[in-house]
Amino acid sequence: MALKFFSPKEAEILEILIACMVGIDQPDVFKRSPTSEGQSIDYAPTVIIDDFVAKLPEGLRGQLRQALHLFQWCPMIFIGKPRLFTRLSPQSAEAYIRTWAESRFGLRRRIFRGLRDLTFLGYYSHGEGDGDDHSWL
Amino acid sequence: MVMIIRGCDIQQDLSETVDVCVIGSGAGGAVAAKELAEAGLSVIVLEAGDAHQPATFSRHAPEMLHRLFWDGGMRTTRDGSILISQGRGVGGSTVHNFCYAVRTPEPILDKWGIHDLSPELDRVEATLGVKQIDEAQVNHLNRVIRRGCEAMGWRGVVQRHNRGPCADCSVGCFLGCRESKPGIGKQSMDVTYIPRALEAGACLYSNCHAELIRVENGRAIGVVAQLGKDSDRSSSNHRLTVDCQAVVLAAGAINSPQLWLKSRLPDPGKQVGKNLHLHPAVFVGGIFDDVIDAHQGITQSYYVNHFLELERDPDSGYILMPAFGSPVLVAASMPAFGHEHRELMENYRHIAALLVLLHDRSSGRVVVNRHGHPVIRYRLSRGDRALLVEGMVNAARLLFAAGAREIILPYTRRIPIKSESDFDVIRQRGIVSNDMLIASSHPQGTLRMGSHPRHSVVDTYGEAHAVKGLFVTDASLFPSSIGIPPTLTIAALADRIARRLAVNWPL
Ligand SMILES: Cc1cc2nc3c(=O)[nH]c(=O)nc-3n(C[C@H](O)[C@H](O)[C@H](O)COP(=O)(O)OP(=O)(O)OC[C@H]3O[C@@H](n4cnc5c(N)ncnc54)[C@H](O)[C@@H]3O)c2cc1C
Repeated sequence: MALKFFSPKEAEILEILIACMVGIDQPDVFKRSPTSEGQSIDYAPTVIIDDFVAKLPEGLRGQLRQALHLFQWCPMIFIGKPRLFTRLSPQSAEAYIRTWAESRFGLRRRIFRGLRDLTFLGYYSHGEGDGDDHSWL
Repeated sequence: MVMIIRGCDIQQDLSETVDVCVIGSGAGGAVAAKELAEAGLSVIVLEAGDAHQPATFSRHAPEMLHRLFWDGGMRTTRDGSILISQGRGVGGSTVHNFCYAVRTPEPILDKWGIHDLSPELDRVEATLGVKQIDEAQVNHLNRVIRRGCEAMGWRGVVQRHNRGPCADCSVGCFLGCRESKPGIGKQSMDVTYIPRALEAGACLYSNCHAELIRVENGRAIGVVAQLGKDSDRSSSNHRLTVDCQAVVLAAGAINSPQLWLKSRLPDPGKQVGKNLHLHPAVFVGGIFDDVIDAHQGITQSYYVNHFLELERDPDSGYILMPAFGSPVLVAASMPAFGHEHRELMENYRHIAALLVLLHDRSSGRVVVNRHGHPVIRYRLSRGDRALLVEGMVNAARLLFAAGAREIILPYTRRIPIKSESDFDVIRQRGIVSNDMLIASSHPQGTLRMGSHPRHSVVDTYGEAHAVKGLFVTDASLFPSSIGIPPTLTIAALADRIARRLAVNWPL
């Protein structure tokens, strides 16, 4: 997978985050060549997100990278598990994400929503038809 | 000769001398450019974004967000709580807007001290080909909303649009209309006013970012722009220096005050950037037994204006509008995450949703940071929060009346609403920032017009109180929130200002 902005380690965090946010086990389901012109495009959500973030203004890109790292490193603080986010069991990951989603602190909710909606952008926009293509259903 | 020059193709510094330099080519800039060029003035238009080729628009949201919007559609208020969509490229926000063409309500004109805008509105409607939407074009989503509205005994209306015959594909309204050309598909500024401005002799630089408005002895004398910036990163890094006798600022309600402040132009009344209104909008969805397929057909043809009584109160109220149904936007508007969210998305084809679009009394401010980037401050007042909550409750009532079996609220935590007896949850929870998606498509008011320099930035004909020869013709002009889709009003004001400028030429 050719990445433009995220490092392979960050892409791994992103992949697990996509699976958790979207509620699927396998985030790379859309690796295929979907355009009518027969172009070969990698539609893995991680690649879509990486490409999208790479084109954002520098400040925004930096914030997203920081948010991803915070997410990765904070299970100890918020659910008392001395593990990285990517090493949590699915149940713990869900409980951990919920602490962000429902935090009293606006900034944590903001990070949650930013990452959540970014994963949705990557996942639900695959393929050509942002509308009629319901293959994600 | 018809001229669009792509800034990113230019490999040297350039200078131009014209009568008028227009900054921005959206609803306000395009109209000003055409009117001035047709009046015989030499006009140059600077547009930061691309000159779009509609046939190349794809259906891939991440790509189109970058092509059509500032910051890839991720521009937000400083606290991240409101997402502000602003168009970038020739045609500005009219390229991705939903084509509601609504005339300025009389009570708003009275409040703004504008005696009559009908001649200008008529001209704009004729140029944009505005017409009533046929019954046959009202899609299932809009019919369901109308059914609910009628069952409630409320007032709603099938609107008029600036749209020629089209495939009613819906997606193209938000991600760019592939069919758009003069008379066909979306009649945005890039296929209506801009070609006419160019035919009349105006010259347009795309990928050309105005960085500084030059003022000498209290008069606007030119603009300095960066060529190639904001294109697909094939930046040329050269400059364009424009010498002119008048500058028309039409970069939109965020970027216009930004440019004013960055250029350190006079602001004696300390009004620049203030009075920002956003028309914040929140989503309320309903799950129906029948298939809605909200992504098919014209997204927004009908809306409920029962709660906008401008004769009684010109400063507040709300509209209930059908919400665009692309998977990405529906996903982002829904509550929850993980399996709970997925379960909701499995109902995608059965969801009809409304946006509660607030005619906001709250106002914010655009300032610039040390890099010259805009920082957008805005907080909803207690009264406006209460009104949004009331709007959410009424949206839910309408959806139930239309046959919804469950209401989906936009809060992060999923709170299913199965009957009206559950509505107290909405009232208790209220509006909490970063707990739901709040979206703004209509920023306005940041360089407001008025007769007094202490309370406004420009006069009622758009000229800056403190800088001669500097005119504003975009949504920044609005003295207060307008409460309705604003494009026709912006265009009509631009027409009025440009014609007056042409009549008074030379300044
Ligand atoms: C999703 C969506 C749907 C909408 N639907 C409707 C609708 O149905 N009906 C309706 O009436 N309104 C609608 N609107 C709102 C409407 O499109 C805008 O209010 C209107 O286009 C604003 O006009 P403007 O001239 O102020 O700014 P814009 O149209 O945004 O134009 C500003 C232009 O200036 C350019 N610019 C900015 N900075 C610079 C710079 N420094 N140098 C050079 N160029 C610059 C921008 O790139 C842009 O092209 C919608 C908006 C959105 C986002």
